[in-house]
Amino acid sequence: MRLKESYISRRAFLSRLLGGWLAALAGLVVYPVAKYLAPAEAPDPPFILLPARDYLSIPANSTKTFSWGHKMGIFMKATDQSLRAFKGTCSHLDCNVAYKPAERRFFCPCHDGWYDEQGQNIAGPPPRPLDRLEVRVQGEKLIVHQPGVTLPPEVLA
Amino acid sequence: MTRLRAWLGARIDLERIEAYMRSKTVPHHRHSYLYYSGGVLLFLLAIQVITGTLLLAHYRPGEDSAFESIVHLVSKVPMGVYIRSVHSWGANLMVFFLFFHLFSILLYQGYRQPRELTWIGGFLLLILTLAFGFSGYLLPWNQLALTATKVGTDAPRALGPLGLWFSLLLRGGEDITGVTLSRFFALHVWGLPLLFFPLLGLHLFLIQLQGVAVPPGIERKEEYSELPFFPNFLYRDLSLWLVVFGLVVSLAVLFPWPVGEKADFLAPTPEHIKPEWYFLFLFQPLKLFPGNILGVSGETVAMILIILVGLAAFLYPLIDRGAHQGKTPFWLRLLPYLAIIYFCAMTLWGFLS
Amino acid sequence: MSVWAWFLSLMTPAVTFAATPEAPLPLLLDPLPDRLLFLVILWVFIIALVIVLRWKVSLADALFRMMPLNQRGSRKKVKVGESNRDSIPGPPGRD
Repeated sequence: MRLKESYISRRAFLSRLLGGWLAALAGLVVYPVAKYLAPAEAPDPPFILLPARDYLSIPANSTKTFSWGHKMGIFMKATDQSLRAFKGTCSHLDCNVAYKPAERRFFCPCHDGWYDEQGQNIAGPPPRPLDRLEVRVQGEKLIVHQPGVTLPPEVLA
Repeated sequence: MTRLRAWLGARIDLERIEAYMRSKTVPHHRHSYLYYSGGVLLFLLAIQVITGTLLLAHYRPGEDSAFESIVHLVSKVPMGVYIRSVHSWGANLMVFFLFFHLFSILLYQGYRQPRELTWIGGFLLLILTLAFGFSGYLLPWNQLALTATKVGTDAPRALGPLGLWFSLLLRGGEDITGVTLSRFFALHVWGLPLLFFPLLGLHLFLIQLQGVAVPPGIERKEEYSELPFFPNFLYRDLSLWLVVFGLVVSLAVLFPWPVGEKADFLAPTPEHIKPEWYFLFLFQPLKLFPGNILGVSGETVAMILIILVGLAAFLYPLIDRGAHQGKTPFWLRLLPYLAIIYFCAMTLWGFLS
Repeated sequence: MSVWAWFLSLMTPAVTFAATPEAPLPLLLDPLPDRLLFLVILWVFIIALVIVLRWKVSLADALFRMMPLNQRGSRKKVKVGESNRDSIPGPPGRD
């Protein structure tokens, strides 16, 4: 079928075809490199085990830190002896928070952020409360786990 | 686009650049497919630089971290195994095309006057590329790398006190240790590039000035035409680069480079150890030399021979002085073919044994 | 050139099979079918690009004529082949 007229010149058609295919090929190459350079964050561990003795023995209204993946975790024994755990990263910009027993609040020194003893954000820039972790004592083990995680039977033994 | 052109044109003499680009031509004859080998090498170099830079984001040099960082790279970093494999396969392909390039220049006497300097620069680039390969090989700090480097850095010792000094220089001491790794890493990532790129610039600049050589027979009979570089030769160049790219990626994706086992000084040397294929032409002949020749160790004789041959190859344009006048003696015209046969034979023999 | 592209894409697995390294560790590799699919897509693009770059006029010409470009509308039309600048420059004498 011979075309006498067309809305697009042959040169433009070829240029766009070439450009489009080159862009697709470039995408095919750039995507893996982009993934390589900026890998997705490693997920948090579902649970970790700590020696109960070292943590349960802390005085009331005090905290002790532990390793949660690569981040800092805070184990807390409240004034009423109840046990809590939080991810110690400020919800504002990633700094580590510290507990101030005198004020019964968590403080983030980077931008003056405050959280109450339940982890609720009460003053300063933090937009969200501290992430809560669940605590469970099993004999000599202190299990800190993400809420909602089913613990494997060997751990609960 | 035209506004950008106008803006630039008011500041830079675009006309002169474009006039040059329009005037650049490449000889076109029945052997002009050989001209693409240089461009392919340039493309492979670019791939090596890019993948090498990406690898730098994760590689940690050091006796206790190098191997582990490679393990981490290929098992935990997304696409890490492919980036690394592209780098390893790319290196091998680059050396392959390098010998193809060298032998083709030798065959059509591209080194003849006025292009002697291009040959000399090119030969130095060959040495540097092999140095890149040798230094890079140690970096994963696996058993294969350790053994290969041990043999390679021991060889100079056959050349007396100077050879011993050179061996100590390479190793950073009597044995291969973390010190060796540090200096090989520094060489591979900084030292060799510092030497390589200016030399490459000179090599390419000379080619821009003088154009590529036409095989003597074809030049005499004027059996060639001139192909415009822009866009004709460039489009063909780019097509070939695309295919080479596909080749490297296919190799990397289908046959990922192995990690091996961590370097262990106390492990016995594996039985059928041999160097990477592109060093076989140097090491395989060592097996042919008897232990002692007239009281001198066979290895020393072989090393001296290798150096003499290397020197001769380096200065080849001066040996084949009459080439530009067609006065190459018969035995010199035969030499490139013998060299190719020797190279292929030694490499194949080493590979299969 | 595209003939060479076909040749190389078929030769690659055959030639490199002998040089297959062994990977002792569990590498973060996608399963083979995924990798093969990626390579197929990659080579399709490469061959398409090589064809357009080398035999631009003849094959792309055929593609061009196959497209439903005779549509009604108010856009301005170009006479096909009217000026000889209406094609990508090829080697001298060829069009």
